[in-house]
Amino acid sequence: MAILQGQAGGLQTGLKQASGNPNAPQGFMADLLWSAVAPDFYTLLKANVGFFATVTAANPSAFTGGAGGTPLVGIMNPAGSVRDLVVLQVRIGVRTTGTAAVNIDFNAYGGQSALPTGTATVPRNGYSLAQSGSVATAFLNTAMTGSTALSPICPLLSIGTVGSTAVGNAIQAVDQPAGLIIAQPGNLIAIGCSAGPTAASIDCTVYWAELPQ
Amino acid sequence: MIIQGQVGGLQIGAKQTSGNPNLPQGYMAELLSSKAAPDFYTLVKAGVVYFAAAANINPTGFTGGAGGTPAIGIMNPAGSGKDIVVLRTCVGVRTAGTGNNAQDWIWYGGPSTLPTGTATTPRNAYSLQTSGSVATAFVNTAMTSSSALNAIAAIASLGVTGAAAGLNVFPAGDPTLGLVIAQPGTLIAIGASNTGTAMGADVTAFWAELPQ
Repeated sequence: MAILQGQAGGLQTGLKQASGNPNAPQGFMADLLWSAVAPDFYTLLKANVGFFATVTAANPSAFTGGAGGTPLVGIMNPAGSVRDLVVLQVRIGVRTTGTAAVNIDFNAYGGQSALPTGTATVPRNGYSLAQSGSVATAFLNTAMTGSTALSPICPLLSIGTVGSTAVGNAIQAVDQPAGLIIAQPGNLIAIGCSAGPTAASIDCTVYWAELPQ
Repeated sequence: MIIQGQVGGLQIGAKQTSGNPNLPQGYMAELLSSKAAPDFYTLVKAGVVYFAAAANINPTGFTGGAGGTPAIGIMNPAGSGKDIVVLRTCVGVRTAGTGNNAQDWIWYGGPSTLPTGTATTPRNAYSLQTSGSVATAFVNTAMTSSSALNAIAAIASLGVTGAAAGLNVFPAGDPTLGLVIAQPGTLIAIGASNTGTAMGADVTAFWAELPQ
């Protein structure tokens, strides 16, 4: 064991250092070389600050950010929570697009809001999988009564025009905002479907981290 | 405390409980790391990330022409002292519309004077408020007096859509990751190659404003 030192010139793959200070290899521009250990979100989940909310087999209502609307998933960060809600991933699954013609796009919305009074769901901890520890309040395919109108942030997944006979869709619907969507205290974020399909069945999960302000 | 290294990969079975906390090194003595915050968190938290969003627009064909109408235009004014670095581009399609269409969405850019069209103030990605950006956005509106722009890179393709709108399923996020940059005095824009007919599109650009 010794103090770390660098050694420029790329990896010394054919000649492992067998004694002396363990030099950390540097690249051809003297850049630091490293290898990943844990997968991207492990550290946050292991620290018990990763949470998620999931709605399954929902026939979504149309939601384009209107006050008191019904998104697939809404997540409220209450004023005074002293946490930022940092969205890690959004996943959307389509069991069926339903039985009537419809045009669909899923979008993220957000903005300042009072705490909605609709039916709330307690988020789950991503490590323990228990419904505990989150500062957030989730709303799953239910009216966010009393919420303020939200502004569009970004689209997540498009299904385009679905015919009156539902068509099968093969997709991998994982969107990784990687911190671009954040709810600071007092802000509400929501995932909404642009139109209300008939007899559709949609699964949606939002993962987020709750980090100190 | 001095940081020290220890080669040979992770010591999974024996966590160090005393002494200087050694940084683990890999089998080639490289440093080992794990990610803490997600990729863009540090920039967003620093209050330097902004976005502009177009919701449910029927886009006008835009291929970089002077004074044209892109889905989103972003002007970095001369003398701003900031670089506008695009992080992510999102294109969503509610419906491809009712006309025959073959459409590709493309980033354009180049030097330009500040357009005089209807401007939109970008939104801060942390506060979600319309304040703090040096940029001026143009959302599905003519960028009057802008210079002609050059194509940079394609974002998403709809291919040929029939007269009866076809089914489109695709994820909307494009990890632009800094490959599109507007330095001061530069205008960048997202355009659809053809005008839609009763189309419904959602478009967002996220960018960081970094010191030059």
